Order: sequence, then C-alpha cells, then structure tokens
Amino acid sequence: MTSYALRRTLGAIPRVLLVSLLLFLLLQLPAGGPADVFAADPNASPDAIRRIEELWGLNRPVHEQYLTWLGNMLRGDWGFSFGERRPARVVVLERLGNTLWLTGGALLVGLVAGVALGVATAATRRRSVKAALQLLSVLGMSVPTFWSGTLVLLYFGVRLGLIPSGGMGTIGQAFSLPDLLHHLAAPAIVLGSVYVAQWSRFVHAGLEEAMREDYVRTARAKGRHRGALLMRHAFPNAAIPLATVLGLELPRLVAGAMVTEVVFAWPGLGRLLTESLLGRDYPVVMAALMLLVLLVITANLLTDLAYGLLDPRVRYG
Amino acid sequence: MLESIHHLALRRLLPVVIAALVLGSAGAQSRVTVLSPQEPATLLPHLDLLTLTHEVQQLIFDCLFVVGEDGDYLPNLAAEVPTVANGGVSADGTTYTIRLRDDVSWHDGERLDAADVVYTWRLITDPDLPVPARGVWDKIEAIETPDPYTVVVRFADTNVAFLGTASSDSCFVVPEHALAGRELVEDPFNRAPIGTGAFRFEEWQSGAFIRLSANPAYFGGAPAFDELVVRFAGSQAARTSLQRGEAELALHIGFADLRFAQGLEAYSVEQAPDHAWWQFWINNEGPILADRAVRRALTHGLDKRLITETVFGGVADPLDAILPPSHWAHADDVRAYPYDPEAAASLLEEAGWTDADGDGVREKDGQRLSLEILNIAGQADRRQVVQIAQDLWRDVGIETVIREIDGASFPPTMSSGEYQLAYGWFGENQEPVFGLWLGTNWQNFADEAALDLLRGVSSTVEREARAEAIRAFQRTVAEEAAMLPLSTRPLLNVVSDRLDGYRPSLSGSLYNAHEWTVR
Amino acid sequence: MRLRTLTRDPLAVAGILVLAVLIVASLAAPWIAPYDPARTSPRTMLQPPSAEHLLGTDDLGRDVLSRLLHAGRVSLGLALAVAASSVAIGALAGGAAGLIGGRLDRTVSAVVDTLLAIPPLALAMVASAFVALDLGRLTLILALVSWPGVARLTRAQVLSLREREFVEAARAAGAGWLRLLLRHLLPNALAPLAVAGTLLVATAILVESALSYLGFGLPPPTASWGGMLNEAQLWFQEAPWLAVFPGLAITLAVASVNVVGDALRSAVSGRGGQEG
Repeated sequence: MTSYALRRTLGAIPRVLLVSLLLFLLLQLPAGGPADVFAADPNASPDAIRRIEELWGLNRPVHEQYLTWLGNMLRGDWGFSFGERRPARVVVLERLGNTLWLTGGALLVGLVAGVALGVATAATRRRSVKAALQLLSVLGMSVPTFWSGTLVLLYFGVRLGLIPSGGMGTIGQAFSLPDLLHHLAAPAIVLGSVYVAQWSRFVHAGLEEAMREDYVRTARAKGRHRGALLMRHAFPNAAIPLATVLGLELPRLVAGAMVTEVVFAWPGLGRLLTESLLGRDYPVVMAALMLLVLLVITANLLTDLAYGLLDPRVRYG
Repeated sequence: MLESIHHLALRRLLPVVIAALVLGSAGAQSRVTVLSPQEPATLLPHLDLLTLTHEVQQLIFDCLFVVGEDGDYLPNLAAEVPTVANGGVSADGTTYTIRLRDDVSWHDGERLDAADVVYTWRLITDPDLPVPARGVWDKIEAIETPDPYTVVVRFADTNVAFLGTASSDSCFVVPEHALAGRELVEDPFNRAPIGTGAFRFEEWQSGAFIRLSANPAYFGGAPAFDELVVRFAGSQAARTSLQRGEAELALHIGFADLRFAQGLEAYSVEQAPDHAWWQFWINNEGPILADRAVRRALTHGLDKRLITETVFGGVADPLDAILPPSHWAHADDVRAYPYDPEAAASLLEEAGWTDADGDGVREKDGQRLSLEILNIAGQADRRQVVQIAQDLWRDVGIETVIREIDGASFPPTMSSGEYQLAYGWFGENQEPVFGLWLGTNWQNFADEAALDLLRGVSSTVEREARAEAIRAFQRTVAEEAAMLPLSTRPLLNVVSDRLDGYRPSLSGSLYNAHEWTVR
Repeated sequence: MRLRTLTRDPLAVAGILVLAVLIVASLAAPWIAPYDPARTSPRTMLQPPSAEHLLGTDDLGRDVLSRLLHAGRVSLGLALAVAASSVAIGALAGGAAGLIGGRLDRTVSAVVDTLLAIPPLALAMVASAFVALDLGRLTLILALVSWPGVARLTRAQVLSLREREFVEAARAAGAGWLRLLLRHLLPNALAPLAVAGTLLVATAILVESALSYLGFGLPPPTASWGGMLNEAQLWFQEAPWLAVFPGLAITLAVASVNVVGDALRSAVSGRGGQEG
C-alpha cells in the first residue's frame, strides 16, 4: 500500500508543475504580460514596480520569467496584492479555509440527501414515485446554482428574513459554530443539491444492479425483506464505485463552489478569484488559481488512495 | 417577622442587583453600523482618490480645519482659524501661521505636534509616491516650526485656497513617528492605521467590513457609543440591511435605491452638501478622440435629460459645464450641446467618418469608430447610464464596448491611460484646486494656456477675478468638448431616525460622528 | 440504436420536444422576437408582464421576451458549436494517442491530465478576462475547456478496440493511422461519443451562463441568459420577474439536453453492452 501511495503522490508533482506552467503562460495573454500594466502606471511608485519586476522578471525571456516566478512561489513569496496591500499568500490562505467549509458542507448535504434519495427510489416499488424522483433528479442536475442560489437568497433571506443575507458570520461577533452553520446552511444546500440529483441516480442504479445479483435473489427467494436486503447486501457493494464517483466530482464541486460563493457573498477562494480578476490583481489571481488546482489534485490523490485502500486490485495495476 | 425578612432580602439582593446592572451596562457594546457601497483599497490617507475611502478615513484621522454645516471654516487640530484679522494670515496672503492644539494624541499614545504636519506635507508632495490629488500642498515653499505647536506655512505666491485644502479632500494629518522612513505603499499601516480621530482602528475583514472602536481620549469629546462598523454592501445587500434595520447610515446610495429608501419608515434620505457631478471622462490623447468632431458628436448624441429623468428619477439636473450650479464659480454660459443626433451625425460625416459598409458603425481610413467605455461594476444606475449612452451613440454610428472593473482599480486604470471613455463622478472643493485638471489629468487635456488660467486661481485674491478665470476655463473645455459632463450628482445618504447629531458638511458625512447619539 | 425504446419513454419524448421548441424558437428569434433586444427605452423600464410586453421589461426598458429569445440563440448556438468542436478535437487527439501510443500518447495524456486538473469555470474565466470577447473567441475558450474529457474517453475506447480483428485487417491492407481512426475506430466509438457530445452541450450552456453571470461573458448589449440573471439581481424588489425567466430558460434547456442524453445512453447501452 505504501509503495502505491508513494507512486501516486510522486506522480502528482509533475501534474502540478505542468499546470503552473500552463497558468503562467495563460497570464502572458495581456499584451506584454500583466506586470506591464503596472509598470505603465505613472502613479505607481518605483518601489512597487521594482517588486513586480522581482516577482515576474519583466523584460526577461518567458522561460526565465517562469522559473523566477516558480522559485518565488516555492519560497513562499507569492507576490503582493495591490488590491489589498498585503502579501498575496496571506490573502489567499485566509480564504482557503472558507472554501473548504463550503465544499465540505455541500459534500455532506449531497452525500446524505443523495444516498437517502437513491435508496428511497430503489426501495419504492411504485413506478410513479420512481418516475417523479427521476424527474426531480434531472431537474436538480440542470438547475444552475446561481439561479437557485439567487432565488433562495432573495426569497428566504431578503423577503422572509429566515437566512442571513450572505457572508460567513455575523459581523463583529466572535467566531461561533452555530453562527457559522447558520450562514453555511443555505449555500451548502444550494451547492449540494446539484450533487444530490446525480448521486441519488448513481446510488439508485447501483442498488438496482446489486439487487439483481444472484445471491440477493436467492435471499429474496428465501423470504428476506427487501429493505433489509437493500441495506445489508446491496449497499456496501454500491459504496465502492460511489467513492470513485465522489472523487471524480470533487473538481466540479470546487468549481461549483465558485459561483455559490459569489451569490452568497461567501469569502472563499472562488469569489476571491472573481474579484481579483475584475480588479486586475494578478498576483492574487495566480495564487488563487494555483491553490484551487492544488485542491483538485489533492482531492484526486486522496480518492486514488482511498480507492486503493478499498479495492486491493487497484494497487497492483 | 415578615418585614425583617424583606429587609434582609433587600439588603442582600440590592448590591447584587446594582452590580449586575453596572456590569451589564459595561458589558453591552453599543455599536453604530455604516454601510458603504465600495471598499477602500487602503486606509493610509492621500493614496486613494475614492470619496468613500475619504469618508472612512474621517473617522480615524483629523484635518487642521473642518468646514461647518454652514460652510464656514472651523478649527480642528488647529486651535483657531488663521485670518488676516487675527494675524494668522499675512497681509499678502503668502504666509499662514497655525497654532496647533497641545492636547491631541495619536491612537498609540504619542502627542501630535508640528513635526507631523511637516511630515504630512512631505508625504503629499513626495514625487515617488502615487498621490493622485495634492491640493495646494505642492505650492508650499517651506514650512517652519518655531515651536512644537506652531506651524508657519509659506507659499511662493498669494494663496487663498489653503484653508479649503486643509479642511477637506487632502487634509488628513498623518503620524510622522509611525511612517517616517518606511516604504509606504506596502506598509502594514495601510491595513492598520494610527490616527488622531474619534475612532481607533480595530479590524479590517476584506470584502466584509472595517471595525473601529471609540477613542475615549478624543480631543473633540469621546463618542457616545463604543463601536463603529463600516460594512461594505452593494445595492442588494444594503437594501436588506436597511430593511432589517441593521444600519444607522447608508452612504452614497445609488439612484436605483432612491425610491426604495424613500419608502423605508425608519429612515430618511438626506442630501449631503457637495459640489459633485456625473461625467464621462474622455481620453483626449486617444487616436479617435483626439478629433474634436468626434468629441462634439458624442456630446450631441447623448440625451442627458432622458437619463436624468429616468435613471436619476428627476433628482439630478443635466449639466453642460464641468462645475455644478451649486458652486460659486459655475459658468452658466458655456457652449451647450443639446441632444441632436442629426447634428452629431453630420459632424461625423464632415470629419470623414462614414458608414461605407452599412453595418451601422462608421469607419474612416479603415478604422472603425469603436470606443471602449470603462465603468465601475456593482451599482445599477452606473450600468443603466452607460448602456443608455451606448444605445444612443449606436444611433449616430458610434460603436462602444463596455468594460466593467471594480472601484479600487478605477484610479490606477485611469492614470495608466488605458481607457478611452470612462463613466464616474467627481467633486470639487469649495475653494477649487482642480485636481481633475492639474492633478490627475486623466483626460490628458493639453491646452496649457487654459490650464494656466487655473493655475493662477489660488493666488488671485479677488473672488470675482477668480470666478472669471474659472468660468473662462469652463467655456474653453465646453468649446473643445474635452470632457462630457452629464448631470449634477446629489450625494444621498440614508439616515436612521434613531440617529441624532448627523450633520454632514463639505468636510464629509462622518466628520462629526463623535457627536452622534443613537436612541 | 433502438429508437423504439426512446419513443416509449415519456420523459425522453418530453425532453426531445422541449429541446426542439427551444432550438426552433431561438433560431427564429430575429423573426419572432417582437422587439429589438438591444433597443433601450428608459421611460418604460421595469414594467411587469403585460399584453405589450409578455415577459415585462428590464431596467433599460428592453423587452424581456425578445432578449430571452436572442439570448437563447447565443447560448444554444454557442453550446452546440462548443460541443461539436470539442468532440472533433478531443476525438482526434484522444484517438490518435490511443492508437499510436508511445510519446504522442504520453504527451497528449499529460496535457489532458493537466487541463482536467483546472476547474473548467476558473480556466474559462481567466481566459475570458484577458481577451476582448466575441462569439468566436468565447467558443474557442469553452472548447479548450471541454475537449480533454472527450479525449480521455476516446482514448479509452480506442485502446479497447484497437486489438480487434477488423483493425488488424485494415492495417494489413495498408491503412495509415488517420484512416484507421476515421474510418474504422471512431465509427465504432460513435455511440459513447454521441452521448458525451450531448452532455457537453448541457455543460457548455451552464458554463457560459455562469461566465456571464459572474461578469466575464459577452459584453453588453449582447443578451445572454446568465447575463440577464446578473442584471436581474439588482432589481429583485422592484421586478422579481426578471430573475425568473432567464433561469427557467437555462434549466429547461439543460434539463431537456440531459434527458435526451440519458435516453441516448440507455438506447446505446442496450447494444453496447454486448461488446463490453
């Protein structure tokens, strides 16, 4: 297992480097590179320009610029945020935790509700209920989160006052878990709802298939109750592929969190990316992007490792 | 028997009750919440042009003078207002002798003294610092400090604008002991300032709020409440907060929110005194906009009245000059460009801009008549105005592309010259310093002769002569269509009925927050 | 492919019908839209649905129905173009990688893996922020974001198919890799590709709307469902209807595409199951 884990972890490193290269090249798109915008500003202090030059290595060939930037990143110097007058690293890391809260909450909601819905769909024998649940799940997958989120926020928050009108906590109040959860509930549910639909379908399909297995049919023939069979035999076998699907969905969850964060004014990484792009704060854009990517790759890695744990066959593949 | 038990109980309970009441009231934090549609980029004064930044800084810093609600100057950090009569101003108007109060402390305990004023002057006039508006500070020849609480300001020439500059816009005095010798643009002071003001900085959560606590040692009297929080909230979030009664004041609301705010029962909409107006900046250096015909066509092609009547709900008035009528130097006889799409079209035709390919957009020498409009994102009325303008200009064959950025990026983008048209508002001091033309000059106006008219203003003693110079300048600008004024911009604040003592002036909306009480 | 199964499922039929209506309405927008979607009329702004304006007017007095139809043109047309180009690029790249193997495979796989690690919306956003967007460039950006998934799928398909007899036969007959790919391998992988393509349409609609909602979409006055939702937020108190219709349109479009894709998938797996 350890060699498998090691191989996988080491294998992730070149991916990270390649992504960083791609992102760096992407940011060369504005004419002359983003740093030039600052250098051209007659009001920028010589010191600020010097800092940008140090970070990006202006006027040097692109590959040198990339290596300079990479070296700085590895040393912890992620640049200076001009929008917030603070080191970019500080700005970005502050928001990382917030995104993790939101993504985690959505994952939980999606998992719990998705599994429950999937089991319910499989357990019921009434075709009309099955059909209705299937329609519901298709709609759930298709509703854009910025629409459902906006409607939820505007109706339950603004009109009814049941949920906070955005943000992560009540202002000035010291951090308290109930307050956080109160603010987390709506965005987590909205974000998780997309996955409820998908995962319930997945669980449902998996369960249906497991139920058709010979050993299950034998047990049924022996008179065992359908529901009990469902939970004790079918479910555990459907759990493994569910874990893989979850892992594959994580990148989309992180991406989906971006929009939800904007709708609910949740101070996370995704919203930071949006704001720093609008504000042309390039050091923060790069740092936020790299962190997002690291998040995705880590999630994939963890899924791989978990899968390796669950299914021994994979380790020797 | 019963009586004595009662007495006993009372004697035991009373101290407890009193203690509870005392502790309880000491523990209860009274707080005032102010909503702001934009977030400052920094709290270090003089580096940011946004008026909302200035409003927040009023709470933390002080100026030498303030403007009272009746428009007269009042002493603040200075012990009295220098005039020719009391000898504070020399007869020839070149020297101001200012006596500072000796009881002012910075939030870290150090005393304010003349060295701080000198340092502030040096900071504002430092050529290496990106200070967008220097007021008349850069006309000062020297500042002497004969004793720690006296400042003698010497101008090269007569100067009548100093009191104006020192009481609003670029007036905040900054601590020498905390800033001298530091790299200012990146210093942590930007995010954690130390001032002399009625409120101390406590916390700044990006994207959310700035929290301040009352300064009990404030020379103007301690505030009546413990905390002041400035929350950043766009249109929608501000409305929600007001509906829930979660704020005592909402600064600079947009017109989109006017009707909504007027409908609130617990609040009233108040206009703050200001000389402000909405305008389209024109980058006169741009390849297309260097042509006066195009600039005039743009002006003729804009239906200002349509915009003021619909988007601004009739609260603002169309404007032809680049100073609003509220200002004493406003010129009401500048060249007007009434809405006339045909005139605009013929101007363009004559200048060679024709629509050869019939796609609705004019060309000349292979170049499309396409301009980019820079706009600040997040407020409905800004978006509405820009899109209406886009539609109107489309009708005369001018194509425009809208680019939205956030408020804090607006000044640096403008000063980098990377724009063609930009929409926003500007305000002028009672004693105008023309930062728009002599300071930032984002519009790249190059008529030196006209600019000289402005340069002489602050040294002209005669008010009527000053007014005439300024009016002549306005006429030139209108003639050249170097700027496109749209309308007046009433500064609207929403004030809770429970807030007493709110008295905005030209110094700002929050400068007397220490005198507020909340019922 | 069993069309019969398709027509028996009421959900699939409904999906196809809804999608057809949306596509036809959007295509016909220039003719059936009652007003010019870009024409502002500030004096008649924020009017609720009425006989004159079936879905009301927005904050610039523009007719919502007309905007919705034209926006559909943009969103649906864009999504179809993105799906088509992503499938084309992805199938070619992934197929070649799977067929030729070796260094090409390693390179393509590395690129695909790299791109898949970046959340598509983030990538699209950053790319959009730096270029002056028009329809063509936006299509390109969205295709850039979508092709890796198709490439990975095609590669897997080709890997499983390339040891088959018909491939050996064609190779023996002297067919080059391109010919092999285009005439023999891809047609056999057509079914899963079609399903993937259909789902890609749904994703493209969602990503483009999200981009517009966040402010990185096509510049005004071009209408887009996501952009309309962005504008609607500021007026929820005065004009709640503005927030309802664009979102509804997106949901209907995406749902119908998903349903059709589902039906396709189940019709396909009926046959595909035999080949494993």
